[in-house]
Amino acid sequence: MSTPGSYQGIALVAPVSLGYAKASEHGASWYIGSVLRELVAAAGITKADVDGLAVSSFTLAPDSASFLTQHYDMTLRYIEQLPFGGASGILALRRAARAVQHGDADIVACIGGDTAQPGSFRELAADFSSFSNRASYPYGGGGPNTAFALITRHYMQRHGATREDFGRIAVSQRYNAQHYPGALLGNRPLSLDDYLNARVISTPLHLFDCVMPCAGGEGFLLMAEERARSLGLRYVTVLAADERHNAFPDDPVQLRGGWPLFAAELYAAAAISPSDIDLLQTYDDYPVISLLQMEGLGFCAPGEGPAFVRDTALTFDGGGLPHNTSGGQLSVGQAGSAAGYLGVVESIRQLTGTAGANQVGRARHAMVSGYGMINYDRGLCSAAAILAQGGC
Amino acid sequence: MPARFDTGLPAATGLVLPCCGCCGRVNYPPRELCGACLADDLAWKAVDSAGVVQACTELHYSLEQDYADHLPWRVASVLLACGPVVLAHLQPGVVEGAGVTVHIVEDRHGNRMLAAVDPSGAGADWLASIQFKECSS
Repeated sequence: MSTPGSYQGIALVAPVSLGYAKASEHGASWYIGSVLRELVAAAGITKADVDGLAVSSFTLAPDSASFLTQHYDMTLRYIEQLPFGGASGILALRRAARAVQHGDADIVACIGGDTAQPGSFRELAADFSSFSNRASYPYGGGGPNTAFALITRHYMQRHGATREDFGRIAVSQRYNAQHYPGALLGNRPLSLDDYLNARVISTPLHLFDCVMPCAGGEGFLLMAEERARSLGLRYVTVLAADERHNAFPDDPVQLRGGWPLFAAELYAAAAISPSDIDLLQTYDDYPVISLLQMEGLGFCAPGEGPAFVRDTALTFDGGGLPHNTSGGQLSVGQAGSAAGYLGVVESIRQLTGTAGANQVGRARHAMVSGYGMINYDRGLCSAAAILAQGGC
Repeated sequence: MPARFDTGLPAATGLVLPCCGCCGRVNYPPRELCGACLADDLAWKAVDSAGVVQACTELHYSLEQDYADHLPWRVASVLLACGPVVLAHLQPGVVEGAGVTVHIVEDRHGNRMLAAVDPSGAGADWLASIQFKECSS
């Protein structure tokens, strides 16, 4: 099988996160357009300099990426709409990088944005996919909690994980969020006791295993490295990236995503090993999925996630493996498709030294991972990218 | 109240699932073409209803009012001997590793769904107690 070509010469700049709110009267086009405005301002360019747009949103309908060009008065030569949930940001990065490498675009704005209103999460869950509508949601109306409860339960039984193991992930992320002003739950401390004593949602999941759906936007600009340098922008490079869809379909319950199918090639392309990774951003829609990413991406062996999080500090300043350094979705909030961009955007902040109070001390390499699209009983998309500190 | 969920399941006794006339694959969730060979030859046929519970959960929160009034609610993933993994309502007391039979049942609103029960007579008693009934074809 062939492997992805080099991402050499690509720069990621201008990390933007904005507008997080439990509910919003604005539409998705407000969120995406507001991120775009801030991206242009942060890069010191004009809107007309942006000739590519890659967007993800669950709440944009009946509009689409195409219609947004008229909303924002833009004439583009590259456009992409990526409905891949928690893998969207990495997939946008991969697609946009190839477009820039091959001359289809010069500057691509990669944006995830979603709005939220009371009841809108139920509407999304009740009509998510034909498989879900027929074969998952009717069984108790639990939404995504049901599939993840089953995955979590199976993981606990198979690997001996305890609730405390999952709690370590949630509690350390809340600590990180207390140092990141954009986190919706950053002003609410969470102890392991708080985590363990929370109300049950769907056994073995309790309240702090579950993300809070919200509105918000995340985005970055992708351009040639020389363009970033000429603009005087701090930037991040892409050492390697890959993705898989519907990996290991015969596993009765999902205990691994697609990461083991490409992790070795990813490190080989980047010419580094897991011990060279200074920070890890996983897609934490539930803590068990973060463990699957830690295992699949080689930070520990399959099934050893519980021991790994017992032995490894996950806080941004704990001296272990800084993980979900802005608090992740579990503490920032899950802003629909924007959640799929959160890890990329936070990695860009960290690697350009612009993170603020939650800045990781030595941030040269970041692993960012994505996971998404619970069609029936498992997430279908797995993606990951190794990013590195660039110049300027 | 009319049926709320379009599960695609037919009224049938026992378990019927979409089977491919071309390659024999039992397909679930229901779909338009055979997932294995892509043939346009799926038909609902009686299959072996035996399976093993892989994982179970007890829902204490539901987005649907019908369920919210009857919590906690048990759901399981079941690996069927005939191939696919199904999600199904789960009889109390049945846990991971247990052998079950999976039936198409109909609730009082006419929603047709799958239920996993102990293969003994206790399963039928439970289905009756929650106002589910076996479909009659």
